[in-house]
Amino acid sequence: MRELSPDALIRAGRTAFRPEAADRERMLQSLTRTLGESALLDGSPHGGLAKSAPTPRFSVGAKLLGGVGALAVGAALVVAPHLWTKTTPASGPAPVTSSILPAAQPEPLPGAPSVGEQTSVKPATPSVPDAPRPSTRSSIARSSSDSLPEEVSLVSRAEQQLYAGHAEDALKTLGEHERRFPNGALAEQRMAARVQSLCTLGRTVDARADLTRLARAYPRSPQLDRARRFCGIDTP
Amino acid sequence: MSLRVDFVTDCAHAGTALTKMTLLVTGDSESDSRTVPRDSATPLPSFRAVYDEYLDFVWSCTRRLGVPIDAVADVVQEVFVVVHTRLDTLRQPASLRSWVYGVVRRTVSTYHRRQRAKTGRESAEPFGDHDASDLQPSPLELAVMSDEIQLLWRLLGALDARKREVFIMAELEEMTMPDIAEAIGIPLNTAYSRLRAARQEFHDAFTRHSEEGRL
Repeated sequence: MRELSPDALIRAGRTAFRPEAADRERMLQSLTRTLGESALLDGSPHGGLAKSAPTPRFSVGAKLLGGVGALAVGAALVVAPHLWTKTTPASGPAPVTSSILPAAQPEPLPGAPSVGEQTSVKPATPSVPDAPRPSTRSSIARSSSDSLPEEVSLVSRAEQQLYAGHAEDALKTLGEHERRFPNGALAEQRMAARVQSLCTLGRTVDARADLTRLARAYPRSPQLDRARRFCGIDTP
Repeated sequence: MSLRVDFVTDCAHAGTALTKMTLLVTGDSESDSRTVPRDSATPLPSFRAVYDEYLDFVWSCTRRLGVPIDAVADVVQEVFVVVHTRLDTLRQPASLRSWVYGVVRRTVSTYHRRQRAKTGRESAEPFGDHDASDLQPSPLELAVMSDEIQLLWRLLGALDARKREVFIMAELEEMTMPDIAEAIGIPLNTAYSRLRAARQEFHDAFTRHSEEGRL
């Protein structure tokens, strides 16, 4: 591991958490719908804010984007690991989907993610160690894009429950994801979140068992070390 | 439905007299009688120009102030709706960055209060007192964070909220101290003092982390 220093961490932090090009574009589209086109015209000092324009609260994504909404942010995060990866967005390969806000019409995911080593989207069968490429690209892509918003909704809800201190609720939500999307695009994240939830509840034996399953299904997953660190479990 | 954002900004420049501005935003664009009229000689930037210039800033500030990835888009949109609505009340266009940060700050604070109300935690203190759990990355976020950012996140959690905010603004957003003091509404000397303390605590947290052999 390269040597870290406080200054190195700060330098890394400066370039983190920036929006991607697709985030910018979708934000622009969303604001255009909210404020009206005139507001976003270059040089227009203000643009009229229609008196009847909706005043979005924190569900604007869902309202404006047909229910797919901000919950699909997680999908973007999953498929766009470049956001906080070691390489800056400018230097890394173009992501499969870099948008935080989902497209108005779902974009089919290519079978092979195009981002770097921290790509998380794997429409894989857990029993196959190397997350095989789907044989029917278009059908897998269609399936992934259809279910991804729902998957993100569930896994996001679970994570919120976990960090709100409701690990039991998180497990139930993750169980629902497993029932509905056993081999879904976020199966890896589900398994990792489950490990963390079990650890939070002190169910170390179950957590270790799930960690073993995660390692078997996704041996090169970056989730593994993180789940181990979260739980304080040494690398086997 | 109306959008209402109240915040008070104390403008402090090198210890000179304070000017308080209360900006009240309502959906029907009703003006607040206390709003300070804009200096008409100073050109007003277009909303589009402000958006293009400050989207990165708003986005990263929102994230660094603890809004999780699945909510950041909504919060950022809320910020720009407020910016759009109140841009023509901006008294000093030269302080646009501070002003925009103030909008971000207030919007994020409202977000955190609502989240706490949803989770049944104790009612939120005024902005600056939210606890480190607001910075906790989600499992999804952890999945894509580099090791450096994860460590940075952890070390920032060791700072109290007020010092953390100044540290983030100065070290990560690279804002000037006068802008920081203005944006937060504190005297310039206080801003410097907090930054000094924050730097020390950050370095101490890093040292402890190193000594524990986790690096």
